Amino acid sequence: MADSDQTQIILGSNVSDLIGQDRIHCLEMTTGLDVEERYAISAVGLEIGRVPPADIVISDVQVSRSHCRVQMKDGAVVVTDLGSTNGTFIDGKRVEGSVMLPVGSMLAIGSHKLKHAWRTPAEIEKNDDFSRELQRATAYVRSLLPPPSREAPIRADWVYEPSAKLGGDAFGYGQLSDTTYVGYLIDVAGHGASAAMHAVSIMNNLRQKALPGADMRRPGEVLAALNNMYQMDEHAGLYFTAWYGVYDTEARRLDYASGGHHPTYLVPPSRSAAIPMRTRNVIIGAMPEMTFREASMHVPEGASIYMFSDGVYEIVDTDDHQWNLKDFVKLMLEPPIDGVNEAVRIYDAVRHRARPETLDDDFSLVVLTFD
Amino acid sequence: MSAVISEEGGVVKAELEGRLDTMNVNNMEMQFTAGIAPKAMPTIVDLTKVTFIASLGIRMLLTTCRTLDRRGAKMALYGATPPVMEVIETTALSEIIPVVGSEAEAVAAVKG
Repeated sequence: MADSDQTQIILGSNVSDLIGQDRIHCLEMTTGLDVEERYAISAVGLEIGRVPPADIVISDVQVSRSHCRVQMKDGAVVVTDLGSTNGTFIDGKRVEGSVMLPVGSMLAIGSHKLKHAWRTPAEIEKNDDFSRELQRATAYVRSLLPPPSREAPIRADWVYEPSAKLGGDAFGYGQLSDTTYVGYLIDVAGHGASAAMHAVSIMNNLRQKALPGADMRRPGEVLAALNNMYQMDEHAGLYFTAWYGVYDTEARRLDYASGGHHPTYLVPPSRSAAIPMRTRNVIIGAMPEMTFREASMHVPEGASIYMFSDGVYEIVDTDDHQWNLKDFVKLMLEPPIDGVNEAVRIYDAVRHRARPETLDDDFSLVVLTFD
Repeated sequence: MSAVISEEGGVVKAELEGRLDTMNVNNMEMQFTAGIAPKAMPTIVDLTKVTFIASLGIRMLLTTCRTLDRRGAKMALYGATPPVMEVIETTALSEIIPVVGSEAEAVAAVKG
């Protein structure tokens, strides 16, 4: 039987073919409370496995090539394990043979969860409208990011790949005055429209190059002003981490401060080391009236700095190893590839090494090179 | 991921186990906060069996701590493993919530 007959991801008008009554049995792949994808269940059924021709392909080493089948039988949804290595589970109980999947129950396969939902077309349409809105929001965030620059004396490359549900990363860089250049990256905790809206609001304030009571050339003052403006109690419990640096083009000095953020790294042209640049300050929005310490670093000719969000390195690799900063720094110091910009080199390497389901956060990496 | 919340000697103890990643926090944050905050009692959180903590996990702890603080109760964390401690250090969370080594130290911190 042709696979295209068995699988249908419901998006908008495709729904009508699969409506038997006024509701549709669906499998919804979830991340926490969010629905990532929805699949309609028919009498023909859906096969779930790690590789095509499975109808639902889950690229997870814990999932067998042909893992289980979900289908309608006599008006009920039934799950049949197809001899999977790691098992199929319904609400935590392993499936032996064929077992009914009640509405609202959770089907677990590897580290993925699929919920059995029984939806009206109106509910599905509403959900799909929301997904389209998220896509528009992603495009909007992207439009606010500065373009890459190949022009001396400061060249900029970046990769911004938001998570499926859009996260709260944002960054910027550019001339602050005739002799100063600014670079910053913020990471709002959480996903979805609220985190993205928060990030956009913060970024728009930084783009204005003016914050109340702050000299924009003083990183500590900038973070302190942001901290007072964005207290989490007044912003739906959202907080963020940030790194902010100001480069003096004449003195070749970089002044910087971070708030709850891991270091930005300076890598000299010899690539002999990655020098961390971080000041120990609390996350932004957690506590009012905090002081933010700053520090300085000399920038050698030809050196680069790497600013990034935690989604870049908080992955589990294909050997089941949970990465930390050290793993990422090692990758950062690997030789550049001719013809490939540095940010893309690193993005490709992380994507290649990560278990796909663990790349679930925004990936934001900015490389600034100082000629 | 699991959280066991108990009470002993006037102190609430929350034992967390597993990965505090985005998905798990989304699934348990409400129950965790609801299981602790309304009691408005000194609270200690055992991180001994937490293998990973993402930024949303930090937010869950911070939100609970701030809610308790508004109600006049303290919260402390203890037993963080090296990878979890690395994240706690990065966020400088210990400037807001006491982070100590043992359960006894945590009890002392919240009762003091």
